[in-house]
Amino acid sequence: MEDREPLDVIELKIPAKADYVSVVRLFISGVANRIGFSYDDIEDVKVAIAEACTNVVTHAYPEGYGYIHIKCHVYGDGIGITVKDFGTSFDVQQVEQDVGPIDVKKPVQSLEEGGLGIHVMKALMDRVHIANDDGVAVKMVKLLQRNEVDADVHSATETPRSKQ
Amino acid sequence: MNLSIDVLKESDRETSLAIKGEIDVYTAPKFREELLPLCERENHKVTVDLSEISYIDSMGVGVFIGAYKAAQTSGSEIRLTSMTPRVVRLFKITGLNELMTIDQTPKDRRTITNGG
Repeated sequence: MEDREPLDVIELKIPAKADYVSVVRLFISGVANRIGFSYDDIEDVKVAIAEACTNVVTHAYPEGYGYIHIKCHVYGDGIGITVKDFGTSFDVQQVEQDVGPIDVKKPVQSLEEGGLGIHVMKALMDRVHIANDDGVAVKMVKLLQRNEVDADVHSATETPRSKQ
Repeated sequence: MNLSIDVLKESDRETSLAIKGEIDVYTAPKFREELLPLCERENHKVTVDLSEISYIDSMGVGVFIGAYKAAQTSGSEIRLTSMTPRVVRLFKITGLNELMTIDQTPKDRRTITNGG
């Protein structure tokens, strides 16, 4: 999908502050609704983009003011979303290694309250790619599921979606 | 939208809360500040009604992990009730459903405020 020309490109630039993450959710909810996503898929996309923005808000600009740059690529069969900052980079490989759900075998006191954001994004979207690019860029794709046949094709060929 | 926290019942042994709105990076710190001290009390039973939570992400899950840890340490109990399908979905994705009981029973609030 990403190698095709999008039908439309929509951009949003907001301060990297917790106050505005709900604004991003409203924005993406409108775009996803326009494309034709189901209620549950729209909610999934809202959570995924909020997780990416939360990471920017909490990690990217420890010593100053910065922005979150959001770019939506609208396709006939889905949406591509890039959430980018120009702040502190991190070791993507190391972070990706640690990604996963809560490990219930761990002693209670060593359970961590953070670090679930990337895991959640990956569970909710069809593709998630994180890269250091003069800051951090998170690229995500959500595909439209027109019917169950399509859904089966996607689940067989794309990153497995969490079945709830 | 914001997050509002209503105390439905409070005694030495238990506290019932109903929270309404969105739990995200903006509202989670305030919620944590309210919830954790309750879970840190010894032998305290904390109940949180989630029926009117319209949005939750990993920040909300993080608050509940913290609350669970605090309750385990202080010999207290935290119970979440009337969880919506969206809340349950996030709990299942993060694995928090393995630690905390999923309760989706719709709750008539009058049974709480009037004590039945």
